[in-house]
Amino acid sequence: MLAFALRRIVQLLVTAIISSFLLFVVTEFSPGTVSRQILGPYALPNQVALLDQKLGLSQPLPQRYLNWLSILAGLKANPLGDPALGLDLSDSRGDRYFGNFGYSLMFKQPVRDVLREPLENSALLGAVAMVLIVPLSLFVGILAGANAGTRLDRVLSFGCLIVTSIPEYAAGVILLTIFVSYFNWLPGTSPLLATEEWSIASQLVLPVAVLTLATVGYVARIVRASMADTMTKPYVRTALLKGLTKRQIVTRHVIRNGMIPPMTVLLLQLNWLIGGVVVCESIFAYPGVGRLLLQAGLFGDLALVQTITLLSLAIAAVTQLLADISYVALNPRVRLT
Amino acid sequence: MMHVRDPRKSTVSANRRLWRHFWPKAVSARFGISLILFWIVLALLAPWISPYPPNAQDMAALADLGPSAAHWLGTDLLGRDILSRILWGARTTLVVVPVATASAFGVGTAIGLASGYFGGLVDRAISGLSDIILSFPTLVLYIVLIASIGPSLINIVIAITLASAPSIGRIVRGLTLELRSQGYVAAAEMRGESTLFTLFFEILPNARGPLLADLSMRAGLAVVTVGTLGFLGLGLPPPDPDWGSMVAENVTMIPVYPYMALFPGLAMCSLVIGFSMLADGLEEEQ
Repeated sequence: MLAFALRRIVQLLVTAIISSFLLFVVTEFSPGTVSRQILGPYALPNQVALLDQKLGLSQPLPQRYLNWLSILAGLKANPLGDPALGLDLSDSRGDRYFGNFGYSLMFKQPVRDVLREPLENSALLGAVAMVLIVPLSLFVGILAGANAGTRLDRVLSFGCLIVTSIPEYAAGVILLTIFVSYFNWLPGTSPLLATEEWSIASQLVLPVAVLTLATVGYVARIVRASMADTMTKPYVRTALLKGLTKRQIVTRHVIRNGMIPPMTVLLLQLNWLIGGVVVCESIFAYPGVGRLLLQAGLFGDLALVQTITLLSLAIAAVTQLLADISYVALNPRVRLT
Repeated sequence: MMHVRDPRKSTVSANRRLWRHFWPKAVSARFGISLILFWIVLALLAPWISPYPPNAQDMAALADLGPSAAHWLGTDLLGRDILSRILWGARTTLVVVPVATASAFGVGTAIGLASGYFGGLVDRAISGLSDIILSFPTLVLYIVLIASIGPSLINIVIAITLASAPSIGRIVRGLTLELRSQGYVAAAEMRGESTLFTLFFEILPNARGPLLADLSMRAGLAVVTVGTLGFLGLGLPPPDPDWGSMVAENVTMIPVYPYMALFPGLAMCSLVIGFSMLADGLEEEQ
């Protein structure tokens, strides 16, 4: 088990290096270079070239990637923070520290300062949504799977299919129309600033609802499929023949065995949730990382885009690792090869 | 004399058989395919049936924006007819989606066949790269890609291909591994058929069942993606209508004029539901 976990962690590190390199290459493709952005659209080409030279941007790609990594690891100072350039960028943590993600050109601040609050907000949104998604999808999935083939199952499965098909922004529009335009029960935007009319909790309702709707149907369908498959196992027939009630069979045997595949899927849903968070935050003007990523992407703020993408990659990689390990831990039949 | 078959009749019955072959059996798949065909017909007929040009502004309608006899679904803030824009927007969606899905499937099938059939180093390289691409959250990948290479039809197709080809490849690889040990593959190899022939005419046709269901699901996902990109401002440039950007333009108006964003949103939902139901039905038929 330990050897398996270690091997997975090494694999993870290799993946992290390759994917961060790919990320670096793709973002470096963008039309406006960093120097062009600093100097504005009317700068002369030789001015841009001069700044490129100072920032080390004229070096070959692998060299720049190494520079980027060493700035990240705190081995090198970020050339953008050099006071001689007069860019007015400074970092209260000094110019060399571990986890230096550089400066956001959009906010003229270190990326870490820009990210702190949106990260907390998005984590809150994601956590509240997860608290709803997990029990709700398990409940619906188990109910449908334990009664596979009945009318109840068909109704629930169909409902899940419809809910999964609705794109997040369309779900947002539908909910907004009902609860904001028609009933006026909830606020239409969620800037997370308490006003006289709307508390912060009321501003969370619709974003959480959109995220939950977008995810519940999919997870419930997977839980249902696994439950329905487990229901056909010989030990379920044995349990039935020895006189257990259906409730006992489902709670004692089927749920425990049928939950193994969905557990990993639930963990991997975090990855899907990150995408949902971007759309959701854009609909409701929620001050989170997703909206920030979109703004940074449209503005061309490379450091911010790279950092947020790296973060989401890290989250994805860690949940993948946890999913793999939990799958092995939960299912003794899986051989470790 | 008596047994001469009416040639007309036999072609009719042959046509009917062909029709039955392609017309899915599951109710949900039939419903799904009807919804998709409904939108395809509307999109094709858009220039003739849409009451106004998609970007024409009706100044007279600005006094009363809501749905009326002249504008069945109302107009947006610029006085553009929502119904016409939805009909023309269907064209955008139904051009981008098939192209993107076909491209993703082409690439995905090719890499999946190659890695499943050849195995070894080819397989490890393709699978490794696929794993890395799949480790990015999809929407984050889209934002990074589109923000870097710019929003245009071809770039959206490239982004969708890059993001979904690896998972299609994974499915095709699994099917290929299963099928390559079949007798007919060995027979083709023994006859001295080329590798390409074996891959595309022996293995691929026999993997079509699961792939068709996946194709329908991917097309639905591509509809969502195109809409989402439009909504996020990463889609095709304005003013040509597309459903996602129509929602984005009008989403702030919802408290006052909910229909402006609601109708394109519902149009999008119905098309995605069509694809999901088709996928669900095809999977059931397996």
